[in-house]
Amino acid sequence: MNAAAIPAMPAFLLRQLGLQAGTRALLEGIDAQLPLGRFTAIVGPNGAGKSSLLKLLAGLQAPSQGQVLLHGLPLAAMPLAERARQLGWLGQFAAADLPLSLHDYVLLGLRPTLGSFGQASAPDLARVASALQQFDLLGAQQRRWGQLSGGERQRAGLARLLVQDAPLWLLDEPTNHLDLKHQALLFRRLRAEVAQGRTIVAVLHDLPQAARWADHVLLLGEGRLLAQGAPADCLSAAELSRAYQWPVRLWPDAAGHWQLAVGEVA
Amino acid sequence: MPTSEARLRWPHRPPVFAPLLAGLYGLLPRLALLAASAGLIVFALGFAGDGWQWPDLADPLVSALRLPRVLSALLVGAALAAAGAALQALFRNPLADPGLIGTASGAALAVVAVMALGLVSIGLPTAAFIGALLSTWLLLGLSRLLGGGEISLLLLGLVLGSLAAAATGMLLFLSDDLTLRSAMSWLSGQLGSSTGAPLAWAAPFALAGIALLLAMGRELDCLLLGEDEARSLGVPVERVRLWTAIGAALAVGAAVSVAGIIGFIGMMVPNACALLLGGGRRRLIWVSSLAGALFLLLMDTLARGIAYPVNLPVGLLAGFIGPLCFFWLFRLRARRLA
Repeated sequence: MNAAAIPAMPAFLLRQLGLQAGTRALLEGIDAQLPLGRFTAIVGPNGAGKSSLLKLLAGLQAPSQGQVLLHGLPLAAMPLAERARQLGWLGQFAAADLPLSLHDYVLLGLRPTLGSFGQASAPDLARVASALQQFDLLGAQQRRWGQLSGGERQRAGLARLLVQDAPLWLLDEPTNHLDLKHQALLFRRLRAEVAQGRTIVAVLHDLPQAARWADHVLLLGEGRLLAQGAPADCLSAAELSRAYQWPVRLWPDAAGHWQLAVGEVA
Repeated sequence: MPTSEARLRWPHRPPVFAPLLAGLYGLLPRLALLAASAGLIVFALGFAGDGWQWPDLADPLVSALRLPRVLSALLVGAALAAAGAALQALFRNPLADPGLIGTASGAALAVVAVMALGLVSIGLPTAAFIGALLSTWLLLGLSRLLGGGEISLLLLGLVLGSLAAAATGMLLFLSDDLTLRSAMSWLSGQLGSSTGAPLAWAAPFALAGIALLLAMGRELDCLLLGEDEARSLGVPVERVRLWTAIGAALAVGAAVSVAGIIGFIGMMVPNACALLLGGGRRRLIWVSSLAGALFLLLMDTLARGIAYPVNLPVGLLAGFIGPLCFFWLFRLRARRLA
């Protein structure tokens, strides 16, 4: 079956979404659709409200205005336990120290399945081992959290998401702390997950990577949605320059790799 | 970004869960029986060799004095250590201890106030529970309101604890009641004192508290990751906070109503256990409660015999050992920053 031929259903529908912090509007009047079973990238300059938007999608914060619909139903009405089975969220800043080993940490991904009291079964533990293996962490699994490098913590977070196994992943700058190889491996991995039907929404800083790997892009600037759609359509020089308030141009070269040019202004 | 300066290091080693647990289970009943049947010297000899015997329950010395005292030591030690392990996760701070963050002081204030009113028996552990809960809740609220990280949480707890201690001192000072005068020795942390609540009244509170904290284990592990992370894993954060505070208050309140303020057990025992089996609260809370029971039993047996015939309050002994442990945890942190 050709996935591209089927019009993508929205996983998330955002209606006039707004978020206030005191008197300051972090997000304002966002109307958007995030397709199901696709990779959506949220891009924009610092302070544009990308992480705030991701938290609203995860239901970790309640919007001040408007609403988030997940599969057509208001996210706010979804019980917490069900939300944890539907949505996996990985924040930007992992704790610097935890009294847990890497293995204990990844094991917590089973919390939505097991509830407060359930015992992990042998297949559950096998899933944890497989997640550790897939993110190249088997050798470090007994190390304490404080001894892990930033990259290992980032990969541990992804392994925890894999164990949690929610059909939708919300990732806040998942390439943070990752070296070039692990970034490439991560994006391949995310594409493979999407090919298997997972929906991924990621806040990304790197425009060429967003353009290369994402199916759908939301471009934010100063709390507003400036453009949404396929990368080639909505990451035009005009839109990008408006978002970043700086001359920016993004284009695919002959090999299909995206190139970025950042201009100089007087 | 997290600032490394303000962070305290969590002790941790790879798990040796099964042998540790088997050891604790094997040791506890035997030591308890020994302590009930003998004084310090026979205790030491009996533990070293095989020359021990069942305590003679017909002997009034055993049934009226030693056995209740041994059971109190087990209960109080288990309650304080379990509460410490849970509070450390609740406050995300390895140095949280019911005695240091004001939970025990709040309980003691409530107990003294109730004593001043002339209510005893069930009134004592109930009041202690309410006092401990209020002080924990106040600290949780204040630390979230004022922020400022882990060290400032300890300072806030210290201030709240001092406030409660001052109020307790004022109550004792103003009272000319003999009961309250004798409360001074109970307050400094003594097992087997006649001032404290009877064990039978406090035990249900302590056991309910420990059970509640055990039930919170996995939720507390998730909460360690951070509020957003915990919520994204389906943990009802506010409810877990409330239940943990209630469980810790039940346990600490019961311990304080029986034995006054015995500091540092709640910090020492969980951190030492975490070194042996990792700091995941799901295991740590109940291993800590076993180890805490064992530890306080040993300490109290020592306190009972070390200055014989004077009965040293075990709280004083803990007051000497505890700070050493505190320094050790600080050294861990200093080593990391170096």
